[in-house]
Amino acid sequence: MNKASEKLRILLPSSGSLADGAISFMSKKGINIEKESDRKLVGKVKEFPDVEIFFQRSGDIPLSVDRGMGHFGITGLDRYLENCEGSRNSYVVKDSLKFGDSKLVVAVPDGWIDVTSISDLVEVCYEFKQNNNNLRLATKYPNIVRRKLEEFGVTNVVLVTASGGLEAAPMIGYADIIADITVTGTTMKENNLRPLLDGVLFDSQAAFISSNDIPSKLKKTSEQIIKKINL
Amino acid sequence: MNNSDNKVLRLNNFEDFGPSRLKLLKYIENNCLEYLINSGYSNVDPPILESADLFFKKSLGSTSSSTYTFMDLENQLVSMRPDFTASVIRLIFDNSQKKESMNKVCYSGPVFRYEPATSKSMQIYQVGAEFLGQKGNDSDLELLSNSIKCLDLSGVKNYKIDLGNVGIVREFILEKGFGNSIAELILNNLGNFNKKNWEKNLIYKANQLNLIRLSNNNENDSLSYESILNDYKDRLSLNLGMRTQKDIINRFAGKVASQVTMEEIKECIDLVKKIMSMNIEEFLNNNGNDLNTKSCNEFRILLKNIQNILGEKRSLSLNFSLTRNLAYYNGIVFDVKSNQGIILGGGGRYDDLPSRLGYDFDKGCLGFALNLTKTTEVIGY
Repeated sequence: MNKASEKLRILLPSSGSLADGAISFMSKKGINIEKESDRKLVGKVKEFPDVEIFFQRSGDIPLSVDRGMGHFGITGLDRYLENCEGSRNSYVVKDSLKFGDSKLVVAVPDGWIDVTSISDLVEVCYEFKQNNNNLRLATKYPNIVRRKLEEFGVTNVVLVTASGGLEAAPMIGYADIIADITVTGTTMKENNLRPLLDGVLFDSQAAFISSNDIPSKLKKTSEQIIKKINL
Repeated sequence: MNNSDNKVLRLNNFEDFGPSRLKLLKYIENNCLEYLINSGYSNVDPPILESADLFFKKSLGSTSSSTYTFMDLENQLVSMRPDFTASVIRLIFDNSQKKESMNKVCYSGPVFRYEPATSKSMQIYQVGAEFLGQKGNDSDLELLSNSIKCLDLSGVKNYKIDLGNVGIVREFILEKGFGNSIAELILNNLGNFNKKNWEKNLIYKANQLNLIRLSNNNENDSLSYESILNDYKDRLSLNLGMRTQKDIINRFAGKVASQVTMEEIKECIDLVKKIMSMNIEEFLNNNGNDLNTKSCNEFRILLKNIQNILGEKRSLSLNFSLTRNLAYYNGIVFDVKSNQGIILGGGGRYDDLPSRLGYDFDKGCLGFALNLTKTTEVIGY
């Protein structure tokens, strides 16, 4: 963290579905953010002169807060748990902020008519194993997917971490199935992928997160903000 | 600004080894390597960094969330080795066409792991061996004997060995007429055997997995290959990835037929519980019909041999629920523990691993490793 800065840093999503929701959420909690222009990546809070706002990519916010680059942040709970679950450097102040809904869903090629539930993947894994192959699952969330699949007893899956265009992975051939965020499932359907009946691994909304490393001189302000967030 | 603000601290959970601990570690490492080399093992040293796929293939992905994996400067997905086994097997086969052909190798060095459950990052120093090319009791005995010898050379005074056999549990389930899916379910959950509600959770998972049918009658038993192909021809003509139409149709038809009733799954669980609850004496003295197979009898001989090697001061426990949290073991599996229960090492048989890594080899594969970080901690320095 920049030690020269003596202000409390709150990191908010710069774009995407979470961005508008975050500003509106803060406003409802009595923290009104002033941004000079849409392109500017810094902002102020009228009620708290010792707070500065930085707008970042939502996916970068969990690690930035966890590493102490920011004191507070708003991001998707899925993003936070993927990157920082169990961390001693940060924690979730409040989840389910009632915006930024997303579902992490496992989908298989529609032609796999024998696979309708997560449970079927156990046997398909075994089929792959018998043929000296591995069932490969492409995802941006390898940690959450691993944990959730283990809960279902699906352990023999090779996770392929990919950053975008996951729906094309089975067609291109670098993965057999995918686990991705979806709202309506339309993109999956258009790419001949079918979500499994019980394939929702994670149901997520936006979350307010905090660093555990807040300087003592900013404690009072940080406590006031947490109080407002929890109201 | 205070100058101490600029200090860069050691990463959490990564340990420094001072002179006395390092001296002890090197002493044990050298003793173990010397013994293994004199026993016909070639000393090798694979790189710390390998293609991530090597480790994913080895564990079928089960260690992917505990392995340090990142894109390197050439945009390749690479991992710091979480253990030596996969690297050493790759090294053996890479060298198999050269003069330095070998089937027994030993190694030492650091491995790197991250434990998501405890958020702990760790560098662990290991010494161990891999043995390729033999199946059966003789190689199992050699593996265990070498592990015991290395422990004795390390200077650990008191330790105990937990020994299980994943292969026997699998064989037991299959011989009772239950399919691979039931066997996989039970084997994947062996590690939780001693936890509360094991049986209840297993039945819950079997239900989740659609392995239990609700009635004895099933209207779909008569589904033929042709009728399935005809009914689903549009979907079956889409991209199926690495699966074939035949794979899918056969499984679709078999899915219904392979379901068991609630009574049958309970019967299977009761049988597994019976074998899991046995202590070593009960297993050695029980050669009834259920446990009179060739592999059970061989395992009895192995247990007796290990008991003789260990003598009376160090104990051997039979633990069929031992899986070492890795899906690739297919025969014996063991943990070595200090008297305080700290795991000092372990290993087992994983005959399918070379083929899983892409090598055409089915002649047996097994290995062990000692955790020198823990061993030095237990001995004291």
